[in-house]
Amino acid sequence: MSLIDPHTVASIAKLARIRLTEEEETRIPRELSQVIEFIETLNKLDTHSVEPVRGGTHLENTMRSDTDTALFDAINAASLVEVSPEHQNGWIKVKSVFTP
Amino acid sequence: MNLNELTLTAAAEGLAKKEFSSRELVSACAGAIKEKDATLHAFLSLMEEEAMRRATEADARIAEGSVHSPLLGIPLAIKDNILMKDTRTTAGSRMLEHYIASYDAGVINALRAHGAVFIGKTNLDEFAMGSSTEHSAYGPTANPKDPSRVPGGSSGGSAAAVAAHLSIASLGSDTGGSIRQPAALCGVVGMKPSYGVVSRSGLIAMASSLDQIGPFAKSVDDAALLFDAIAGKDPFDATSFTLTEQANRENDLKGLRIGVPKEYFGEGIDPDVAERIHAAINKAEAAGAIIIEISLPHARFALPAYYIIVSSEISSNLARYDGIRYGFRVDNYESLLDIYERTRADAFGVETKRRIMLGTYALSAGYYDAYYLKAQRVRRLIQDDFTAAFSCVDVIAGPTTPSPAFKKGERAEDPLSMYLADIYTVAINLAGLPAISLPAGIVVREGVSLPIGLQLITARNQDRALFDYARLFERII
Repeated sequence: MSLIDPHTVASIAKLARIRLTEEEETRIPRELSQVIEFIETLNKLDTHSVEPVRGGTHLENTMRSDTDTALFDAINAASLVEVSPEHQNGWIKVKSVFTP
Repeated sequence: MNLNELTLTAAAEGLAKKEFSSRELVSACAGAIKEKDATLHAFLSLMEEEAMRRATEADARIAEGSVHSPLLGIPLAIKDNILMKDTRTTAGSRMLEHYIASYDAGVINALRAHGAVFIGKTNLDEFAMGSSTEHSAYGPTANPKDPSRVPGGSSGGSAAAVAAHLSIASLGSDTGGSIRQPAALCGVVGMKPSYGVVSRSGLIAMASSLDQIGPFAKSVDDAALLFDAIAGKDPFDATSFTLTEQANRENDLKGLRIGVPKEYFGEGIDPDVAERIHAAINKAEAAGAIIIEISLPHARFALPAYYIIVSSEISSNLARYDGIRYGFRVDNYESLLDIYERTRADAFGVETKRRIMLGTYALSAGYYDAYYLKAQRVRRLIQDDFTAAFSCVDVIAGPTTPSPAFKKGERAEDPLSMYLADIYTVAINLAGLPAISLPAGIVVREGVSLPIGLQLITARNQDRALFDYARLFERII
């Protein structure tokens, strides 16, 4: 079984925004490799002329008229801010996005 | 018989005839919970006061004669990945340990209108990822038939609640088998609707092209009643629609064409389970059904295709848990990146991180075509297998799971062996089909009787026909 290399795992962790522990840095390459091997059975199938499925629905262009706001009044904007971990005066508080 | 042991149908009749009250029904369930849930751990939170309030309202409506729904006054348990306004909703994760839902899910709105009573939120594998409920951040749930074994997952709590008569019926969610598999392992009825038939608004998203909410119940009739109450187009879910299909009201099995996939009885199935399922199918044949051996040639590719697709969609859907708008946020952070990386490291469990990593990998540049698109092409082939099968059969029958409930801890450390529990269920989600598991006898392990399930599958949007066929089977097996 070929191991996914630690450098790849580190890039994936970065993309996934998950800081890995040392234990995970050892375990995850092995687990990922096992699963990748398992799914490589898909390559046994010739699918070059098969259209990929896109999503779960068969519906198309589901629209609603842009008039009925009563539906959305049920959710109070202020209450959405209040569930955030840190907020002040109706705003969600975070570290600065752009560092000087 | 204690009131909590009644079926939904019998409870609704009893309430309408004023033989007992909704308050008494709720009390009976609450009593059973006090007696058994310390061992079972089916519930994450209880809402006894709120339940009594709603029960009182229901009793008032019954007294004045305005009973419009069989669900009026019936105590239900709800899987804790379904939002209920102003109620803690955790998705079985530390990430949402203190999260209070801001709105009601579409199905909750629908059930409120029917006058149903909610007694509590049930345990699940974290973010609905798992087949045993062992991946819950709040501890596992026990199988009521044998507490040393798992109830299945991810909707283990909802299945156990019904099996142990802690609620009259319950709701779960099913992305790769998470209703049907625990239903089979706990000996109750569990049904997954066709994709789009039940609203996903307010269901904490796992894999948006696969997720569906569905009922757990003590009988097929009960499950059908609960299904009718929650099915239908919801303006908050653009993928939802209302079924126009009428019930067939099939009266007997004569002439019903039952397809049995030969791929389902090969390697990996427990011989006792195979024997029970064959026995059930033979009974249908004796009653006049026509048994047709069919082939689903791409059956063995369903699990790998599923795990790529589900992990990819999970990695996308769980990106929102970043410590910013809701849920857990780490302390003492230095930067925005710090908030993201450490919040997700600390608050996500092992299986959740595994699937996010796998999904991120499958979707990343250079791998997207080889893994994600490949899996979606294989999904098309799997869908085509079912379309071909349904051109010559009315319903497909087979085992829901390859084996009865396994012991706690037996598979939790080995992801691949855990994934095998879903071998008969995932293809159905990939194809968006409706399917139901009903109890089909028992197998004995170490002197304990363990339930197993028969799975029935129909063509897409034939949910009402599925219930009809399930009723017919239920009568004879």
